[in-house]
Amino acid sequence: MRLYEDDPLLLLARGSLIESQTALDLPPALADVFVRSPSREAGVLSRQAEHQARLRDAEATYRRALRALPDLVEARVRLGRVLHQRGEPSPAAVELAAAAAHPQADPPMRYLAWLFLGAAREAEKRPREAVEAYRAAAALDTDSTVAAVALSHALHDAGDRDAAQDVLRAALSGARRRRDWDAWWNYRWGRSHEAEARLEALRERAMR
Amino acid sequence: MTLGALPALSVLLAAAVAPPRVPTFTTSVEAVYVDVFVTRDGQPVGGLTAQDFDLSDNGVRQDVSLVSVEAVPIVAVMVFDVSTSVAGARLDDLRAAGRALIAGLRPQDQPALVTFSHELQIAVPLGGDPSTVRRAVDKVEAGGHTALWDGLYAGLKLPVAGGRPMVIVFTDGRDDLSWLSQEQVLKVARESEAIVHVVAIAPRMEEIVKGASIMRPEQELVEPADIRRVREIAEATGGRLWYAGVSAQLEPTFLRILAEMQSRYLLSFTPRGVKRAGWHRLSVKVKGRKGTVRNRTGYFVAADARPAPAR
Repeated sequence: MRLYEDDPLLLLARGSLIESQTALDLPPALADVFVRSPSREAGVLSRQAEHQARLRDAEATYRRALRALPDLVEARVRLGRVLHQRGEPSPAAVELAAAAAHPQADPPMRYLAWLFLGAAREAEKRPREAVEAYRAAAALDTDSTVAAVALSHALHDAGDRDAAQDVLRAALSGARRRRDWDAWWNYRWGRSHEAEARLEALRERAMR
Repeated sequence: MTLGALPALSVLLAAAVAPPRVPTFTTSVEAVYVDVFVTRDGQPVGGLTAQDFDLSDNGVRQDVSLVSVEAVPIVAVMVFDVSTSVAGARLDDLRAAGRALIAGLRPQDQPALVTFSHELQIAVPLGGDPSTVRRAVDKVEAGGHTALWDGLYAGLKLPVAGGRPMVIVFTDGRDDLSWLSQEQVLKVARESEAIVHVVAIAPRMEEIVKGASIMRPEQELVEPADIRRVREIAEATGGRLWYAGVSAQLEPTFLRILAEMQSRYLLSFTPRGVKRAGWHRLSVKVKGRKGTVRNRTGYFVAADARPAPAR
């Protein structure tokens, strides 16, 4: 990072690492603490503050990556997700809509952008737009149970209970081939599977 | 209240009122059905009549009648956690418990099966032959992560009109991959007619208490996070959390849940003196007797809910 401090791919890798660590190390809510005591509660509050600080760090890192390479769609998708997690769904929706519409977005990134946009729209209390975003995600990955659940729940929230059932039954019923890949699962669990390839690319660059 | 014998109950929105008709559960509030479980000293209390119950809807006392539970089919949706940690003997015991539950259902009851790991599947939808569900139970395989909230959501959304919906969720772990949050699923559960029972393989509270004997007096004992969260959902629907302890206890636990469903009272009332749309908080008590009553905490009527056609 010291050698290539403005390398957009390195910044993206750093941001996603922070994001993954934050997701996997969620601070508990006070009510979740097994044994309560004043010192433990103070510890939880401190961890929650640390969690927010990490998300701010990830946000700043993605913004730097996008300044260096504005077409880096993944950084924009991740920036949108982090903004939503920080409690800013409207700015998140702006970034995610831009990522979904970007001509260089590959299908998994477009799928994630629509999925996250749906969540941001729900947080904005715009249920109909959330439904449309989830429909777009489901159309990009027709076998995704994640998109089906998200769409069904948004329809339920929008008051269309019958459609919510129909979507779920259509997506989850019958003999289905077991899937071991969904862009959401990979996103949730980070990018460690890509680490070796990235390191190799850096080694080659350093040798030149 | 002890862990072994918590009472339980539920509310069902329906269009029909008088027994022995089978209610069709809709968003109408022509009549409301409240599924009630009454216990005394941990044992179900039988022989109660409608006059023994005192029911309030948003604080307004209502006239209730009793519907025969024999006339109403149980819609039993099994939601099984089949993540990696269930593999082996635990999965064998889970299959046996599922088979026992299906065998214990009456001919008019309807079973269904939903499985979840990171993947989600409606293995057998409602309306299928029980032998199809039994075969599907035998075929479940374990592997993958745990999308507990998504799986529970699918179970809640599966039942359609007719019967007393019951969702039995088995889990042995904590959610790590759901799209939905517990808060979102809790809201759906509150609005649903289903009674949720959760069967967990987890440390018994007695063991937890024993293990925490070094606690200082000012410390409060709280359950582990996802157990507390899933209990909250079950109790909001009038169901409860059951600790199976070890997986060999799954079968007797499933059968106890079924026995409880068959020992409940189904109360019916037509709401009077309350606003139609919105959240209705329910309170049910037994008059003049000792006993613990468990019921759904309330029911929700959408502003645009249409009355069901007369039958």
